[in-house]
Amino acid sequence: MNRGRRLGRVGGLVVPAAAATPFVALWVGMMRSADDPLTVRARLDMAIWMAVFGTPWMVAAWLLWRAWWRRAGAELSVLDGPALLLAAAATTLPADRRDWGAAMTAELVQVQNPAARWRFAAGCARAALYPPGGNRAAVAGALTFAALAATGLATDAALPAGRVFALSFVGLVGGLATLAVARSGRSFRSGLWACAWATVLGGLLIVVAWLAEAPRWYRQVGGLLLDGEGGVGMGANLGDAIWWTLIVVVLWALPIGVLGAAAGSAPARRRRAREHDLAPPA
Amino acid sequence: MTRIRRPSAQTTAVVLAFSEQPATWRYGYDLCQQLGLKAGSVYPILMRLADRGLLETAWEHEAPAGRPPRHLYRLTGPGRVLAATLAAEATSRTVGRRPRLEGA
Repeated sequence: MNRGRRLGRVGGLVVPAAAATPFVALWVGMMRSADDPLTVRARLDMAIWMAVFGTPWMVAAWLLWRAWWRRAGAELSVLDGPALLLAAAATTLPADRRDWGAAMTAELVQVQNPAARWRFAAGCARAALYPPGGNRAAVAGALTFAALAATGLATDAALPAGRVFALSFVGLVGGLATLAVARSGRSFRSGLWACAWATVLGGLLIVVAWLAEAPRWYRQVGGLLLDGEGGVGMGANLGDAIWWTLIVVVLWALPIGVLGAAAGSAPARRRRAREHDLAPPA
Repeated sequence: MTRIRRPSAQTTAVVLAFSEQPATWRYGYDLCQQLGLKAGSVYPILMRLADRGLLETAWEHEAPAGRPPRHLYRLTGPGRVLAATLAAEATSRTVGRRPRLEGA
């Protein structure tokens, strides 16, 4: 089996396994946090619920992996380190800059010396990650990190119980803001793609943070994370996390993302209109 | 053409490098080597110049088998005007400094 095929198969196993990890971790957490020893039947019931909710995530992750691998992965698998670095960075370029990724990739082919290849690829990767007009994204990213560090310190000192929630919230908002700034001035279509990715990743983050915090909250308060309701099993947190994430994502984040895509593409639209007005007649 | 701020020293170097042979198509990697600049500096400059209509870009028509076509660059008319302006400024600065240097 060649390297590409092997990598494809390994990825096809690793990606769904990674998607299943939060559900396995939740199941383990519930087993450990139970006040009374659970019967085999109860453990099996919870495992079945985890499988019911986790399997679609695993299948979705595998489908995403397979689609990505068919499009780009097979080509990436035959590349060396510098070419991989550049290819990965080039995928972050907005649609109207894709040509530049291809241009840098074509130039890298000319460079034979390994050290020079790494230097050239690293420079190109930097240019791809921070194209002109994209420096604001680096600033937004740095601010997000600073806000995360400050939030971590502040909650540790004042409200340890809220640390996971506060860090998740700040990280999510900061990440979305960074993404929005990075994509501002791009096309509406690329904004929609960014919205889709932010929605999927943000939704996953919310579920993961919810599932990480719920067992601790359940042990302390004896109720669900959402409303503190007692008298129900901790497994109900999983349904809450997924259901409320879907509501928030579908009803709230998606339309806001579309609005953001429209607002972010407005400067580019105005610039194109201005250039069109200034262009000499044919 | 949109109004352009005063170019940085690196942008000036890139524009002047193009203006040495304005009709000749150049490659990105060759420019990096000629100017001793990193790709992370040269490519953003090339992107900005192309965005502002100062640089013309094209793809190689006949690439050798087994390698992708390379991207080519050369100055447009407005780009050559900018190059001439920058060259004149560089010359006037050199001339302006000379008496002080000689007198030192």
